[in-house]
Amino acid sequence: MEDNKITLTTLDNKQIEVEVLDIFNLEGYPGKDYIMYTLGEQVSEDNEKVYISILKEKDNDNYELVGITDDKEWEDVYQAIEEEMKSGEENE
Amino acid sequence: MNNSEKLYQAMLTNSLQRVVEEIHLLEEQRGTLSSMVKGTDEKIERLRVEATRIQEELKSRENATQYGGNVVATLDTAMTALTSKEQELSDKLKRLEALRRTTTTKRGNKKLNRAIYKARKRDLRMKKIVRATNQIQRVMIMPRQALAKWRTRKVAKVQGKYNYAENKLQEYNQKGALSTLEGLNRAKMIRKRERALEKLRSLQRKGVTNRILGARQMNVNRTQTQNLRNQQQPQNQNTQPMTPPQQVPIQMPPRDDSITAESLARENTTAPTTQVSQTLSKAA
Repeated sequence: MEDNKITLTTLDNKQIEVEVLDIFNLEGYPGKDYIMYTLGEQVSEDNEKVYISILKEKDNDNYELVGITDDKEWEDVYQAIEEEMKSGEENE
Repeated sequence: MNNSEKLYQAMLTNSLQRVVEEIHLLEEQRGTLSSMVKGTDEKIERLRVEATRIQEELKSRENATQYGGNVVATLDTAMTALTSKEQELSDKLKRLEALRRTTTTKRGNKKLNRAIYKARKRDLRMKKIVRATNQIQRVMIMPRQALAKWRTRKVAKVQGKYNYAENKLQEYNQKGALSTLEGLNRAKMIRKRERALEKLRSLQRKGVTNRILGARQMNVNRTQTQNLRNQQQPQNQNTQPMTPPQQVPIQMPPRDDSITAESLARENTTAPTTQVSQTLSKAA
């Protein structure tokens, strides 16, 4: 397997391979891991579609990628990612 | 000597009288109150200086009248004529307006309205001229006071501009502080490379037992995603750079609308999206 690819099983038991871009935490949300990944979809020449889920570890050491249901939480995640991307650009 | 000059000289004469009287009064007081002698002496001295100054100004004005007399006299005459003309116009306007109130015919109203409009314009023009002439007279009679007043106005104008600019600056600083606070209040990303890698390896070990139940999507610049990919590389410099995802065949299941990219998350390019995990469960 490639360095950052993982296989996931969907609700209808289909398997997909995604590329993990990052796993991070967010201030104000202790103990929560977020995972950013992509399916390689190009939105335009410059942009790429990425997906963000909450990474939950189950009792049997398996993982679940759960959607962010809280709008406020999503707002925070979105803005944190944008800021991180901006500061990444500035540091180049 | 013209009227305004006479008036001013009278003013000066009164001031001189007042000062002299006060000097006399204080001299009397000095005689009786021994403890206030020193203070009174100083005050008397100041007043003597003031009296001398006024006397000199009176003298100079008496001389000046002979030189500037014609100009001032002309202005005086003009002022009298202007004031009476202005009064005439004002009376005419009042008469016209009174007439307008009693007129009932359309034609009559129309004519009167036109006449009132013209009279008002003339009246305003006349008032302006009277004001300007008055101002010239005041400056000629009391140049120092006029100059002081002009200077005060200038300073006040500049001060006003300065105050406005200061207020604006304070406003901007406050807004800046607020947005800094807002920035501080935003949740920050905490990235720990080692932990991220550990989680990734763990996910890879679990393989297909990892389940995806929902996600939100956003669009990110490819340069930024490439940066993230590069950061995922081990610290070893000999490592080959990762090929972009589109060059590596991804094991996608047979086409099925329920698990396309759109089914993972709802489309939203600029605003936060809503979760569509229900779509995934429907497809099951």
